[in-house]
Parts: sequence; structure tokens; C-alpha cells
Amino acid sequence: MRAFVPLALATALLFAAPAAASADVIFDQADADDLAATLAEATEAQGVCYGWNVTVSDPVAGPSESIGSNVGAGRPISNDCAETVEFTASIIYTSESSESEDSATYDVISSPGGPDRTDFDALGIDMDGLTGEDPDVVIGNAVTALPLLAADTGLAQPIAASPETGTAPADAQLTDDPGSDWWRQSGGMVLWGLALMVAGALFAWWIVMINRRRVAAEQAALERAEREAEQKRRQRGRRGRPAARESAPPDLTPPTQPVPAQTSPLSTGEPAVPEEQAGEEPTAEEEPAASPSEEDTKPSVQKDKE
Amino acid sequence: MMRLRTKLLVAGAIGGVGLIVLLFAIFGGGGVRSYLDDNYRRQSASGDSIVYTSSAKPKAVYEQIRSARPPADTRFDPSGYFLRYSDDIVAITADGSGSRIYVDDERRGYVHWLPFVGGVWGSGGSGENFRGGGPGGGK
Repeated sequence: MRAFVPLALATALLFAAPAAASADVIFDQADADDLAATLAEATEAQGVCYGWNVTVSDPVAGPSESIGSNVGAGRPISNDCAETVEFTASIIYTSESSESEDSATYDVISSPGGPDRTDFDALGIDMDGLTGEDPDVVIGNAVTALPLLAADTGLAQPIAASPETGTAPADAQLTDDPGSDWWRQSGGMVLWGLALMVAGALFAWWIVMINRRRVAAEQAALERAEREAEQKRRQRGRRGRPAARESAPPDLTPPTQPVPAQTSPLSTGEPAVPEEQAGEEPTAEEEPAASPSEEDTKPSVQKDKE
Repeated sequence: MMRLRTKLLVAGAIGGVGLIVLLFAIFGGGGVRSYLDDNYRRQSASGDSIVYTSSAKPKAVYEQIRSARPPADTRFDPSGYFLRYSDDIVAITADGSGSRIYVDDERRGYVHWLPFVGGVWGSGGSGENFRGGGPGGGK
């Protein structure tokens, strides 16, 4: 009697084990059955066996798998099949505390001459969805495409669909909004075009700004140089002016009483100004913004020279 | 001064290319119907429902159309490829060694292909397959 106790406990534990290990981890049972039935129809029409084998590694629920074929959900492809095409995938979920991301790999395994992963990838199915919220949608779409791939590679004869001609059910209507075709098709080009136009405008603005600064700097340098030249001229003029001014009385002499130029240096005893230097005296045109008093004295000086 | 002109010409060229790309994007496209009309042989038409044919295999035709006019969604069935657009549904099936291409407005297309896309793109029909509800263990 004592020997039966461990056996009974083991049996109880076996039945109490998590059901996830044996149930389909990807599909609801109805979906798995529908998928298997679709494959069965394809096998009947094409003579090729189809199936899927998806393993899932979950840190919480443990390892599990989803298997099915044209002979039914939960059943692998029969060994009796001469031609086979199978979709395989491995999904690895990581724990919330892990730094690693969820990951998945997939492949298409066929008899010689059948489709491979390259053929499958050309369909453009977004396989990132294997680790998304609805892996069953992705896998279901992938598995139903296997007969199409077999027909394309010549492994099987194609099956032709025909549109329904009967009356539609009253509740048959589209639901999700597919979005704009134009934006899906041209959105990228629109963004590129706008980006290029903005880049061109910014480049032109930058060129103009740089050029404007350069012109301003050049003008400032030119004005500075002119100012310096003018200062030099003034300095030279101041050096020569006292003599010139001495030759003529600073207070405006009436033009009616000119003073002879040759007599003034001798009479005053001041050093004589050479005629060349006196000739360097800035003219009224060269003298910029001279003080009114200086300008006022010029006519008298010129007259004195005369 | 010459350098300034060259720079401005480069800036103008960049902006000009952008403008050309933008104009091409706005006016150069056309919907899936115009693409089918331009590239395949029309076999029959009934209202908005048109049938085209091609000597290429269905998968090649599918890839051509999908590449030229990206659909919002694609569904596969052992007997055909189904592409959904904002206003149209396109189905590609085998036709001998070539293909037959059906284009319908979305409402009529959904009814025509209900056994294949029913329950996926809308309500009703028998095909309520693969609408989600998987393990959902992703993060």
C-alpha cells in the first residue's frame, strides 16, 4: 500500500502540470483548425504537404510550441509526403528585468526545388510582428502563403481563386481604415522634396549672410583706411599750416587790402614756408568737414598767395 | 564674387531638385488603377470592377504591383494574393501559366473576396482567422 502513495502523488502532479506545455501557444484552437483545413485543401489540389512548427521560449511559461499541418492542428507533416513545404520559427521572449529584447528567427524548409526563405521574404511580410502583439496573424499569413510559393517555384500547380458572385451577408463590411494611398506612395518623396527645398533655402540664406558680413567688414576696413589717410593729411596740413597762416593774418583781411606774400615772412621773422609745402595745403575739395573757421580763412590765404 | 555666384547656384540647384521631387510626388503618381491600366491587358470590365491579365506568374505580378503602389495591407491564400488600398481591393490569381488581376472598389471587392479576406479586413463572412489573441508575451 505504501508503494502506491508516491505513484498516486506523481500521477496527481502530472495532471496538475501547466496546460500551456501541451496546448497551442500561438493559435486559438479554432484558428489552428481553420489553418490546418486551408492547408488540407491546398494539399488536395496540389499534392504537396504543408505545415508549420513554431517554438516559443518564455521565461514565465517555459518552452512551448505550435505545430500543425495539412493533416490537422497539433500534428506534424506526415513522413509519407513526397513533397513538403514547412514554415518554421523560433520566438524567444525575455523577462521584463532582462536587458535583452525579444527575438525571433524563421525559415521555410522545402523539398528540393521548393521555395526557400528568399522566396518567402519577397512577399514582404513584416516578420518583426513575430515578437509583436499578434504573432498568430503573422504566422497565419505566412503559412497560408506556402502553397503560393510552391506554385511559383514549380513544385506544385497553382490554384486559381474565383470571386464570389452571390449575395453578401448583411453584416459584411470593411472596418479598419487603410489610410491614404497617396501619402503611402508619395509621402517619402514629399518629405525628401521639402527637405531639399529647405536645405537649399538655408544654404542660400547662409551664403547671403556670410557675404553681407564680408562686405560690411570690407567697407569698415575701407572707411578706416580713409579715415587714417585723412588723419595723416590733416596732420601734414597742421604741420604746414602755421607758416601758411602766418603769411596771412588769421583775422580776415579785407580783400581790398592785400598783404604782399613775400614781405610777411621777413617782416614777422617766422620761418618761411617753402612754396612746394604751401602747395600741399589741402584744397577746399580735399578738406573734409573742415571747421567753419578754417574754411573761412581759406579765401584770404588764397588771395594772399595771389 | 564668382565664388558667391557659384554658391548661390549650388543652393538654387538643391532647392530646384527638391521642387522637382515635390512636384513629381504630387503630380507624378496616380493610383493603383492607373498603374494596372498602364501595365496590364484589360480583359473585361463591369462598372468599377475590372479584370486584367498578364503572362507573368502571380507572385511576379504581386511583387510588381506591391512595389509600384504599396498597399495598406496584404493577405495571402493558397489561391491568391489580396491587396487592400484606401478605395480599392486588388486580387491576383493564377490563370494558366500567367495571372489574372481583379480590381474592385473596396466595398464590392470585400464582398467578392469575402471567403479570403472576410474577418480580416472587415466584419461578416466565415473567415474570422488570425485576428490576434496570441501569447502576447512580448515587451
